[in-house]
Amino acid sequence: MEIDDPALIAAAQRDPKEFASLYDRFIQPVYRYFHSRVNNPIEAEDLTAQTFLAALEALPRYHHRGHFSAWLFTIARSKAMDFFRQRESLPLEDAHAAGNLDLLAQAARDEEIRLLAELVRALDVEEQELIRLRYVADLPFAEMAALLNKKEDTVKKSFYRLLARLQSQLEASHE
Amino acid sequence: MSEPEPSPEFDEKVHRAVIAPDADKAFVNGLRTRLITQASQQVPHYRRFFSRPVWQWALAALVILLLVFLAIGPLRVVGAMQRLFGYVPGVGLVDQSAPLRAITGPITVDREGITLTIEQAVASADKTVIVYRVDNIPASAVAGDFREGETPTPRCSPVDNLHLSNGATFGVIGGGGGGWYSGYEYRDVFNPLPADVDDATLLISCLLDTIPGAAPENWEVPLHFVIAPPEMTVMPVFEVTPTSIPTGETGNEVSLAPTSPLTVERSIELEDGYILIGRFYSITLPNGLVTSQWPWSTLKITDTNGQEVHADNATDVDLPEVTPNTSWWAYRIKGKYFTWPLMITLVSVEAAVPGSVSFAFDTGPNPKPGAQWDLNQDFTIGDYNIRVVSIYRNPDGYSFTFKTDPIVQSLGVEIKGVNEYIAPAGGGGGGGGGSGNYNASLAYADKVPSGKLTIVLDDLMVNAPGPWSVQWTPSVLPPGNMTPTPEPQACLTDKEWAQVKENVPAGIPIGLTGQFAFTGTKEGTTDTWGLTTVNLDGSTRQFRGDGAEPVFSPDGTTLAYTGNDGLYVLDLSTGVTTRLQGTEGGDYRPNWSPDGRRLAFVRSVVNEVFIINADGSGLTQVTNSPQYEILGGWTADETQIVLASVGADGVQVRLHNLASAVEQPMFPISSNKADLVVSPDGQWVAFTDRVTGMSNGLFVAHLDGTERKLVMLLEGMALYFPIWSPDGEWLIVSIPNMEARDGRSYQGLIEIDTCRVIPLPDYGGQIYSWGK
Repeated sequence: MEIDDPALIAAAQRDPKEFASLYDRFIQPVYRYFHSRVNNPIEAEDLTAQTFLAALEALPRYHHRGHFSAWLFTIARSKAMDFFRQRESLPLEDAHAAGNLDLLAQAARDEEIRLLAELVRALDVEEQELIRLRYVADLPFAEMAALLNKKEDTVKKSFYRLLARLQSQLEASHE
Repeated sequence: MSEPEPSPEFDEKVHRAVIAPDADKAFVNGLRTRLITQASQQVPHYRRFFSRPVWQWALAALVILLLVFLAIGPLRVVGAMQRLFGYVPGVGLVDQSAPLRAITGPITVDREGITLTIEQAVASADKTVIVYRVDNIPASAVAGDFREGETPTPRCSPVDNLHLSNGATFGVIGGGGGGWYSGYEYRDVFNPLPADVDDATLLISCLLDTIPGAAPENWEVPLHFVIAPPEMTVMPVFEVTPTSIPTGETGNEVSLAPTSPLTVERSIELEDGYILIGRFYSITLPNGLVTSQWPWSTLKITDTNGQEVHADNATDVDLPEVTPNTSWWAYRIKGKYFTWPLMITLVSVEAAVPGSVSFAFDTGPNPKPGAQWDLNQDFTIGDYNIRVVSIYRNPDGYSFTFKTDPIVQSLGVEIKGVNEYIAPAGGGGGGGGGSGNYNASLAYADKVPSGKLTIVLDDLMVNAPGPWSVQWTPSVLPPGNMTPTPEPQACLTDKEWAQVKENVPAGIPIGLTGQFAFTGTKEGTTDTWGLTTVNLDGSTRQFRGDGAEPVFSPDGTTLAYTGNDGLYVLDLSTGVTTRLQGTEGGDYRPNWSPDGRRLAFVRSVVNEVFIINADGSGLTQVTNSPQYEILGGWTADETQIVLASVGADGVQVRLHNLASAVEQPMFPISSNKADLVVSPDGQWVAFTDRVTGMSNGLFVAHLDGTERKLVMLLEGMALYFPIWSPDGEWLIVSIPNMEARDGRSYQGLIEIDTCRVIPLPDYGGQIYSWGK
C-alpha cells in the first residue's frame, strides 16, 4: 500500500471517522518531527494534536494531488512556526539533551554518533530541516520536494551533498 | 552531474544521530479517540441536524417540552426538564421518561489472562450505553508502530455490536475511549433497548490495536438488564437561565441566539465539580459570513478575578453534531469553590468563505526564473478583499504575494487545468486575525506551466477575533467552605524561576558537600562526551570515560552506568570498570540498594524490573506482568522495591517484596505520565504529576502518599525525574530552557523543608546523581 493511499484519503473525505486510518499511518512521523524540533515531549504531543485536529478540519478542502504527507507536514511546519514565533527556534537535537533515558543510553554508546549529532546541530536551519524531514519524519524525496516547493532531483542533490559534507567533516574529525 | 548517494552505513549513522522517540501509546490512543470523537461531530455535508438517533429522541423531547411550555409556562418546564434528563457518571446524559434499566453489577470475562470488564450498562429511553475496559493485554499481542517502507503490522480495529434477544443487532452510534500501555476503556452508545427486551449480548470482534490472532477474539458478554435500583447515581441536569454578556470587537450580530452567540444551557453538579453544556450559535461576521466553528483551544473559563479555571472536555456527554447553525460544547470543571461568577469566553472563531475568483495571467513565452510581474489586481471573495500584489517565477514554479484583509488566514491558489501540488509557502496569521500579508507558491515536478494561464483563488479561511463571553453561577452555591478552591502552592514555579535563574551563586552554600555525576563533554573539548564527575564547589572535575546515566553508590565510591551492551560499575578510586554479566543493551536506570550491594534496573526490551548484585552475580527478574513498570527505588530495609504501574486511571505506586513477591498498594498518581524516585533513606518518594490542566507538578510524599508536598509547578512544561541529595534534604530539579540553543535544561537545587532555591551553574551536561 502506498504511503499516500488515495483510497484512504477519499474515504476520510467522505466520512471523517475514516480519518483514523490516516492518523495511524502518520502519527509517529509527525510526533517524532515535533519532538525533534521542540525537544519536549509535552510540547510535541500538543503540536501533534493541533496538527491532526487541523488536518481533520481541513481535510474536506484537501485536493488530492498525490502528496498527502507533504500536505500534512505543511500543516505541521505551520504549527511549528507558530510555536517558534514566541520562542527562539531550537535546533535539531540529538538524544543526549532529549531527556529520554532509553535514547540517552543508546546514544552514549557511540562516540561517532555523538559527534555526528554535533555536526548536524551545527548545520543551518534549512539543512537541519532536510535532515529532519528525511530521517525523523521519514518522508520520501517526492514528498520533501512537494513540501519544500522544490523539484525532487533538487532536493535529492541537496540532501546527498549535505550528507557528503557531513561525512567529510566526520572523517576530518578523526584525523 | 548527480550526487553520489551515501553508503548505507553512513545513512544509518546519521539516522541514529538524529533519532527522535516515538509518541507513547497512551498519547497515541488518546489522541485517536479525540479525533474520532471530533470526526463524529464533523459530519459530511449531506447529514442533517441531529441525525443521530440519540438526538432525534432528544429533539422530539424538546419539541414536546416546547408544547408544554406554551401550555403551562416556563417555571414548570424547568422542573420538567430536570425530571426528564439525568446524568449518570461515566454513562452520560440519560432520558428518564422511561424507567432506567441497568445491569446489577460489573461483569468480568477472563480469556487467556486478559480481562474484559463491563463496568456499566444502562438502558434509557434515548440510548443504551455500555462502558467496558480491557486489562492485561500482553505486550506481545500489541501491534507496534511502523514506519514508511516497512510493512505495517496488521492491527485490529474492533467492531462492537449489541445483539438483542429479539434477534435484532445494534451497531455503535457513538462513544469513544482511550488506552494505556496494556489496556483501554471504551464507552459504546447504541440505540435504545426496546421496552420488552431485557437481554442482550455485547459482541466485540477483537481487542483494540492487537495483532490479529495474538489475543482472544470474538468476545461475547451476555447482559441482563433490570430496573435500575434507587441507589443508582443519577444527577439532575439543570436548565440554565441565560445570563449572557454580548461582547465582541467586531460588532457581530446574533442571528439565532436570543442574547449572545455563546450560551451555557445546562449544568450538572458533581461531587467534585460541575459539567457545563452550552453552545455557540452561528454568528454573522463582517461581510455577511456565517460561522459556528472555532479552534478547539480558544474556549477559556476564568473566575471573576481573571484566574483561569481548569476544565477538560466532558467526554461522556454526547453532543449533537456540529451544524452550520450551532456548535455544542461540554466541559467538566474540577472544583466547586470559585469567585463567582465564572466567565466562559470564546476567543476567536474561524470560517471558510465560499466562492472563488479567477483571473487571466500571461507569463509570455519562456519566462525565466527570477522574473516578476507586479499585478496589484484587486478581488473579493465573500466581500473579503484580496490584492494580488505580484507573481514571481521560481525555478520550479511561481510564488504569489497577496495583501488581504487582516482577518484572512489562508487562501488557496491554483492554475486552472494544471493538476499539480500546491504548497503554501507561508501565510498570514499571528496575533488575532493575521497581518494581511499572505504568500503562496506553486511547485511543479516537471514542466512549469507558462503562457496564457488562468489563476484560481479559493478556499479562503478567515479567523475573526472575539471575544464572546457568557457568565455562569450555579443556581445553588455549594454548602460549606465558601472560600475559593486554593491553587496549589509550590516551592518553585516557572515565574519564580525566571526571577532567580540568573542569580547563580558564586559558591555552593556552606553545608552542602559531595559530588555530581553527569553525562557531559570532556573539559577542553566540545565533541567528547561521557561520564563526568565534579565536586559541588566546582573543583576536581574528572572525565571518566564512555557511558550514560551515571549513578553514585550510597558511599560515593562507585559509579553505576549504562553502557553499550549492558550495565557497568566503575570504581572511582582505582578506575577499574566492570561489566555486570547478564545485563544487556537496553538495560537502564540503575538504582543502588541502600547498602550498595545490589542494583535494580529496568530491562527495556521486556519492560520488567531486575536486580543484580554489584559484582555481577545473582541476576534476578523481579516483575513479570504486562503492566508498564516504573522503578522508583528501594525501601530502607532493602526487602522491598518501590514500583509504579501505569493504567487507565494514572499510576499506582506499590511495594514489591523481593522475598515473597507480595505486593502492597501505596497510593495513586493521577497522571499516567508520572515518574518517581525514592529518597536515599527509603522513606520518601519524589514524583511528577499533572496538577490541573497543563500544569505539571513535582511532589514529595511518604511512600504511602501521606504528607504530600508540591515542590515545583511548571505550566505546560515537561518535568523530568528529580535527583535526591545524599541526605534527602534537597532535590536537583530540571527546568526546560526554551532559549537554549542546545535544548539543555537549567538545573537548580530546592531545599524541601524551606523551599530555598539555588540555581546551579552550567556544568555542560545533565546531572544524574548527587553522591557523598
